Amino acid sequence: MIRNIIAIASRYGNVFLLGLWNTVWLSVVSVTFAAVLGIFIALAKMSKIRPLSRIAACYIEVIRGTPMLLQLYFFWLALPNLFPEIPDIICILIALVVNASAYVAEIIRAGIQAVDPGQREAAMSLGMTEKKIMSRVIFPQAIKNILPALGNEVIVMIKQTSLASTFFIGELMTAYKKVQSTTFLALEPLTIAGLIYLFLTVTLSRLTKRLEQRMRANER
Amino acid sequence: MKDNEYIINVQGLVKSFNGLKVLDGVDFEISRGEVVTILGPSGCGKSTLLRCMNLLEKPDSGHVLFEGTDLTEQSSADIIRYRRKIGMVFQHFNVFPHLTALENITLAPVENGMLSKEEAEKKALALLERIGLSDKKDEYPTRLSGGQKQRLAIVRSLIMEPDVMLFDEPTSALDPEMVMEVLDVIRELADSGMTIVVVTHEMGFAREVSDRVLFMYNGSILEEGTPSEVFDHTKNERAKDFFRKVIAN
Repeated sequence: MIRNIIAIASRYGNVFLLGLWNTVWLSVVSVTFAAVLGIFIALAKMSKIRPLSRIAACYIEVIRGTPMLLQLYFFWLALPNLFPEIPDIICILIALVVNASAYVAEIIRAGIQAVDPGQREAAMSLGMTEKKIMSRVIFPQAIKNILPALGNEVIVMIKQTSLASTFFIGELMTAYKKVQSTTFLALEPLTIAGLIYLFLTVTLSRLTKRLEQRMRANER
Repeated sequence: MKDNEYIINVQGLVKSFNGLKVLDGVDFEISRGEVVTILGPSGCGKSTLLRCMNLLEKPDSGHVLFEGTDLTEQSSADIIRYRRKIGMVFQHFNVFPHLTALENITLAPVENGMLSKEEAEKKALALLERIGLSDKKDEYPTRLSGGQKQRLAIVRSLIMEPDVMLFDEPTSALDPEMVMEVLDVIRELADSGMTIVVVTHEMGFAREVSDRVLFMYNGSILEEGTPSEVFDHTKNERAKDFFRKVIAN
C-alpha cells in the first residue's frame, strides 16, 4: 500500500496540489468575508434596538442549528432560481460564507464582551462617543481575543469544505474522488488527502497558538 | 462662571438594582472648590451615588444638576459633552492597556476633537511631569505599578480640565505602600482648588483634606458635616459604630 501511495502521489501530485490550493483559498476567502459580515451580525446582536438584535440572534440560531451539508444544498438549489447564470462555485462559496458568518459573529461578540466593562466606563467618563469608544478602546482590545479564535475557525473551515466535494467543486476531497475514479484505488488517495489535511490543520493551529502568545505577551 | 453656584446638586436620587433600593432619596450639593468625602459601609450606595453624578448609572428618579443643568433631562449626545467636564477615577484604574501612558492621556481630548494631537501631547507631557512619570511616557500600563496606573488615570481625566473630579475608592485596589503616592496627588489637587468628591475608606485622609464629610447608610445620607463634627461628635449610632470599627484598625 505504501508503494501505491507513493506512486499515486507522484503521478497525481498536481491533482492533489490543485485540490489543496482550492481548499485553502475557499477556507480563507470564506472566513475573510464571514469576518466582515460577522462584525455586523455581532454588532446587531449586541444592539439595544430590539428587532435588530432579535433578527441577528435568529440568523445565528438558524445557521448554527442546521447542518452545513443542508445549507450547501440549499444555496446550491435556491440561488440558481434567482440568478440562472450563477456558477456552482459561487453558490458554494456563499453557503460557506453564510455558515461561517454565524460562528464568526459569536466569536466577535464573545471577544468584545470579554473586554473589561471598566474600559467602556472609563471612556464614557471621558466624554467619548459610542462610536469612538468602540473603535478606539473596545475593538483594539477585543481583537486580541478574536484573531486567535478566527484562526481556529479557518481550521474548522478547511475541514468543512470537504463537504462541498458533493458538488465537485475541486477542493481536496474532489481531488481524491477524481484520482479514485481513474485509478480504482480508494484507500491510497484517501490517505494522501488525509495527510494533506493534517499538514494544513497542524501548521495552522501552530501558527494560531503563536499568534495567541504574541498577543498576550504584548500587554496585560 | 458663576462662583456662588453649586457645581453638582443632587435632588431626591433613587436607584434600584433588581428591586433592591441602593439609593433611597439622596439630596446633596457641592460648591465650587469644595472637597467632599463620602464614607459608609460597603453596599451603602456611595459608589452608585458617585456614578449617578456623571450618569454612568441612570437614576430611577430624582435630578442631577451640573452647574445648574439637569443632566437627567439631557439627550445622550449632550450627556456625553457634560461628562467631559466631570472627571472620574475608578477603583481599578481602568487605564487603557493597549495604549502607552502618553496615548492614554491624549486619546480622549484628540478623539473628542477638543485638542490637536500636538497640543494634547504637550499638555500630557506636562501632566506626566507633574506626577513624576515623564520617563514612563512610552511604557504600556503592564509595565506600571498600581500606584503609577492610578496616577496616570488621574491625569488622564485632568487633561479634560474638568470642573469637578469624582474619585471612586481610588486607593482600595492598591498595595499599601502605594496608597500614599496616589493620596498625595489627590491632596495636591485639592490644594490647587479643584472641586472633589471622593468615596474612600482612608479615614485619616478624609479627615485631613475634606471640607465636608457625608456618612451614608442603606442608600441615605445619615450624617453630614465638617470632619470633626462627623468623626468626633456624631450623635448617630450607626455612624459611631462604623467609625469605631474602621478607626480601630
